[in-house]
Amino acid sequence: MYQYDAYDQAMVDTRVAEFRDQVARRLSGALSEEHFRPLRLLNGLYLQLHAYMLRVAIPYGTLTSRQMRTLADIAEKYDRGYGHFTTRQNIQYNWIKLEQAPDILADLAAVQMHAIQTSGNVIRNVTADHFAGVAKDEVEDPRIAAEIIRQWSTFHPEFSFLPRKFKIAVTADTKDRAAVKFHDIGIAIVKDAKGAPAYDVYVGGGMGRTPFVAPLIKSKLPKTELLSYLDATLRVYNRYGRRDNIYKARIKILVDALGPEEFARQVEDEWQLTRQEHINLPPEEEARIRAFFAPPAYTTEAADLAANMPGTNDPAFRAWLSTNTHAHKAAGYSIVTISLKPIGGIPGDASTAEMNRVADLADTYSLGEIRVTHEQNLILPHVRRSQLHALWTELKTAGLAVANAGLVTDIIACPGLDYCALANARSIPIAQRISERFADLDRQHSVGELKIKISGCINACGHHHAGHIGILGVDRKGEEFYQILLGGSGAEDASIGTILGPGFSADGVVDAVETIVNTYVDLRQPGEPFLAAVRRVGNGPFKERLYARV
Amino acid sequence: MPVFDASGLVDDHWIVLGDADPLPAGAPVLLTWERIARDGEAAFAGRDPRGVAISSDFDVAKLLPLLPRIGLVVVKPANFKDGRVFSVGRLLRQRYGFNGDLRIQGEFIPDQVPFLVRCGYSSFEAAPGFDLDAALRLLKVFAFNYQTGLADKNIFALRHNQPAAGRA
Ligand code: SF4
Repeated sequence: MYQYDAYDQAMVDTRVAEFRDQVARRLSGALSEEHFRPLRLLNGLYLQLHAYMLRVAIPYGTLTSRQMRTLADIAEKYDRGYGHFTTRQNIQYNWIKLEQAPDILADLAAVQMHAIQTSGNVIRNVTADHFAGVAKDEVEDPRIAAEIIRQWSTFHPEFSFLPRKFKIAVTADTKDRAAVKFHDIGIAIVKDAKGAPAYDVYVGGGMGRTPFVAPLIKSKLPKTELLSYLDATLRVYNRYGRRDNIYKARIKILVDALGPEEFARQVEDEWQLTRQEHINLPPEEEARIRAFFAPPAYTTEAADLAANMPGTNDPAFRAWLSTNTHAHKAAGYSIVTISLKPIGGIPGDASTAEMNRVADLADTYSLGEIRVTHEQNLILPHVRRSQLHALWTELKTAGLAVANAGLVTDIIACPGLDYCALANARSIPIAQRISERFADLDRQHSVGELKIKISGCINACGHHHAGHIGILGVDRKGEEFYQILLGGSGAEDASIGTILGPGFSADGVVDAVETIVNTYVDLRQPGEPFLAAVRRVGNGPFKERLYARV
Repeated sequence: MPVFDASGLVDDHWIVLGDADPLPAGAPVLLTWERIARDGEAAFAGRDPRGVAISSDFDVAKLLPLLPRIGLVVVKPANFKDGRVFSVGRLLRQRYGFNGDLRIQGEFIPDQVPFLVRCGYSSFEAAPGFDLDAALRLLKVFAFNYQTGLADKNIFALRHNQPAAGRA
């Protein structure tokens, strides 16, 4: 894992001091709220419905157990004993006092963490595949590029007052777990003609009120040219992106207005100049960063490599193995998903005790390393196969062994009207009711992979466009209503869901989801997952069942 | 409005001319881009350097042939969130090698001054009520930076004991 050196540490420490100064000026009145707002946003501090919310970056979703313990402590000391893992590999605290925010940043800096650029119209916390470094088929560890981007984008003097927020994600596997085509820039690490890693650069994807799947703007960019190409792309956006209307200010609108070819041409012209301006990372610096991501020393014993493992006679353990473990690059190891979606729980929430427990388990079973997924779950990336049963047993005691990763109750939901000032409707209670409706684990397993994503308004923080079933909260004459979309995907086969028909009330939407699931179970072909079935038959059969008058 | 640079308040000797004002002899004058575009050589009247005022959305490539005869570029943001000023600065300094005074005028906030300096701005003309002390203090906050090609104190170069690439 990447370790800060004295320079990285000085940057976050200085940031804490700078923010202390800004908060003091705000509290004394020297700084108006209008001028303070973009500054606090640069430090991840939002004003929500009831209190300030602090969003802490977990760059590319990688955490040490020590960092996780600090996140747990912050929840205890400054919040109400909870943290909320988000869809962008951040953690949010919902009950923060402005005057304590600098102290929290200081606690974070002590473990090489920060809240820098987790909000505001800047380059946001860079995300990556949560299986980075351990995925079987990846071209190389995408966190190397992600860490380079983290440093390059930190306090970028030219790109800290962009027309709108800017999100970058990196993946290196043919299976896309980072939703790169729904980002402002999505980087897919591929092999060039000679088999060397290169970057496919997608630009202009996004959710919100105008969702776009990002077009490929640059194929096989040489790795050494990453920063000059990013500079060129951001400069075209900074100069020509719209600033007159916040709903049209994202780069996706510029790409769409110019057309992908013309946009690519403008970036290419700019890049031909930036690449001569000493913007690219020096090769020895790339090598220095790369070295931090060398694989750990894996040790295996015969028991790890054996086909059988302890405990597989227990059907509950087998169920968990089937959904919550994945193939690891190293023989004898597995990747484990810890679901933060207990039946009836709040998606992505973790208590102080749970965070500390996960930190302990990471030390015992996963070389002290934890990942955070954009699906609001946690990962233990390096678990020896012979220890899976022991880990599962401990997770079960902690209430963290729910075998639902990727299933119908593994729901993504935004904070919605319970916290968010922009919301039209609540999201969390809808997720909880759906989860309770499908509580029966056997039923969930027989339904199979199904991703439900819920947003409380058109801003789409819950990624409803990319849900196999997407749910969007709307306001209908002062009442909360929910539209349903079908057929979205945030994976390598990215697509935007389409609206089924008239919306439903809060109660009705849970019944509607069940009807959709039952319809799928009735019409699926053997082994056919939900999304494939929807793509085969279209929305028609679902509509018929949903809106049929009895 | 007072003008300052990284060391504090400075005397501003540029005379601002409207598009119809006659050119005074020998004085350093600041003209709008529109006037320079309209009058061509007559705007210089054999005496440069001139100052030129542009808006943040100006296509700075147009200034390129005139730059050797320009001593001051004044950039006016539409409001304090107008981040185009940063691109204008970097293009003028880094790409076009402008060596004169580069000034922002109007709406910007103290916390942006360090970014402006790193993008090449050398003087500042702020609106009344601007917290000059805060701006000067903030300029000293960060000792290093991650971006290459912009100025010295680049972390990537420092890590490997190399001189920073690019210009200050
Ligand atoms: S989707 Fe809307 S309601 Fe949900 S968090 Fe985003 S802005 Fe708030």
